[in-house]
Amino acid sequence: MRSFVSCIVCLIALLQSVVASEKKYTFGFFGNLGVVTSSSEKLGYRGEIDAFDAVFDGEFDFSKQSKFGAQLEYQLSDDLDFFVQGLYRGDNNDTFDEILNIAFLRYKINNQFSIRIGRTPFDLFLLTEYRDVDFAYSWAKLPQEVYGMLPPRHIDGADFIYRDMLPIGDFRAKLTFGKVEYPLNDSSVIEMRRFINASAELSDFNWSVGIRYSNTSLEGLEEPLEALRQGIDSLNGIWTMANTFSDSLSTNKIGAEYLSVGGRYDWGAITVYGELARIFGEDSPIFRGINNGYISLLYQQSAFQHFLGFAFANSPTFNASIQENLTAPVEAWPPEVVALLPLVEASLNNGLNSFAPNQQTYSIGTRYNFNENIAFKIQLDASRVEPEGDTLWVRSEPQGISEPEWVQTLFLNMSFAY
Amino acid sequence: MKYSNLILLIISCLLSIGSLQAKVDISNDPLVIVTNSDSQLNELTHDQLIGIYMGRYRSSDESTPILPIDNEIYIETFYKQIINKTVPQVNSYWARLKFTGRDYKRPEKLESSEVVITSLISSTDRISYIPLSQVTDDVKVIYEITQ
Repeated sequence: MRSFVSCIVCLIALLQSVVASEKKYTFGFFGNLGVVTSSSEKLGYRGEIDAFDAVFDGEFDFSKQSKFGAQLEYQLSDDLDFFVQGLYRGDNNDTFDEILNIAFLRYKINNQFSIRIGRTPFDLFLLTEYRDVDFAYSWAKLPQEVYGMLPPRHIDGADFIYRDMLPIGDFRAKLTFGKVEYPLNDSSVIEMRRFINASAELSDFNWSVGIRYSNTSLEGLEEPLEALRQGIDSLNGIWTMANTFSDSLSTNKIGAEYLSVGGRYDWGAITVYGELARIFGEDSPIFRGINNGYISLLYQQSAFQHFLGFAFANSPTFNASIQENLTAPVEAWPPEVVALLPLVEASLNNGLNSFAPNQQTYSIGTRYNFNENIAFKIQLDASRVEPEGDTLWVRSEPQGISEPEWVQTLFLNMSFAY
Repeated sequence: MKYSNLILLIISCLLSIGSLQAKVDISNDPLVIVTNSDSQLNELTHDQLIGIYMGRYRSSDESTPILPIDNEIYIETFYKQIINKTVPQVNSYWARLKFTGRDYKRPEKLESSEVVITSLISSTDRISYIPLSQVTDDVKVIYEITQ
């Protein structure tokens, strides 16, 4: 918390001093102070898949929802500008490289075309670009089922943007190339190499629709999967599928594609948000694809905005079926080996379902606009998490849950933007 | 569902408070869009006005740049009337654009109609909104906002 406050003070002081000296600079800052508590002793709330710790029953956590960002924009000429943004997230970004959220040079070719080179915002799904700008949306947090699986915040590369005002709305298309990295745990980093993203958005003030497609290869999974692969190797000669699965886990890259279609529509005081997304995995037992999405209904009442939401993530789960695929009849094996098979099978299933979320969440909450720049939010989530679908949670016991688990999570936030 | 009763109670309280909020004050003196009297800009459509103030149009005809200015005194009424949104909602919209590095410029905000008119006099590429009763000879009306 001390480093969080120091970070805020230093960034504000730096930016204010710069702004005071030169009008070509503009700056801004945003953030969120939040607390989260949860109801389960078995599954701890961690928000995103790269978070290392979790909130269990009766615990209160101030770091998961809290963040502070500050940015500076410098107009070098009419056509060229520089944009830099630092973002400190209370849960797990500490290094300078992680805090440096956006830093790019933008060249405006003409009124329609521009190119940005450097570190640009990750833009995978409808709300990914501004997921950390809590003041920009009504919920206390974005749907975990869609936004919890992909924690990257930026792409190191370049993008080309085309923007035009069409008779029916503002059209914006973007093509991005680059590389993305994010930590999977304390010692492993996943790399998205050759990351390519194409997106198109059509919007007016009261509505927007967008489609996004990304293609990449995931690298860096060998080390976190090594223990699992060794476990499967030890079943060589017992389980008929051992060689196949061991080989498939030895691959150093996994192809992945992401597709999202979503939008928003306002009917006066009522707003509807919805998004459907699909993550495709390429011939990998560990990463077989996810269908996810959400819908949310919001109602504006004076300074309040009340909302309801439903989100889901469905993935095919893996079942090793070792006992049905033994290299010899079960009677041929020593009783002590047979007795261990269910445990080995459960352990293997757990490992191979590490990236297979299966859960649904119902949300209710309210945002109160305290003034033009500050909003308070409260949100209650009730999540039904399936056995072998608890990817987005931290287990208190290694074996996880054997029955579906309902988890209630309560969020209280104060969001601001200046 | 150990928090459900608590959340329902809180939301009920918030709903009650919300219903007591003051309604937006709509004056009998209509807001008008004004610009420098020497400006070549003579009229705007409602859609152009929204596009300019929401950062989508940089000009009315893609050639003459237009710089929109917010009048802090009437900002709440203005956005309520042209897009039926509150200022915090408009700020949320700008936060989405500003903090993701998008190339949209938010209107400059000035603190009174007098300051707004002074700003308009200094340049022919600016527009803003003031009540009809405050229009002077230095500016001309290019759009009247009907409620």
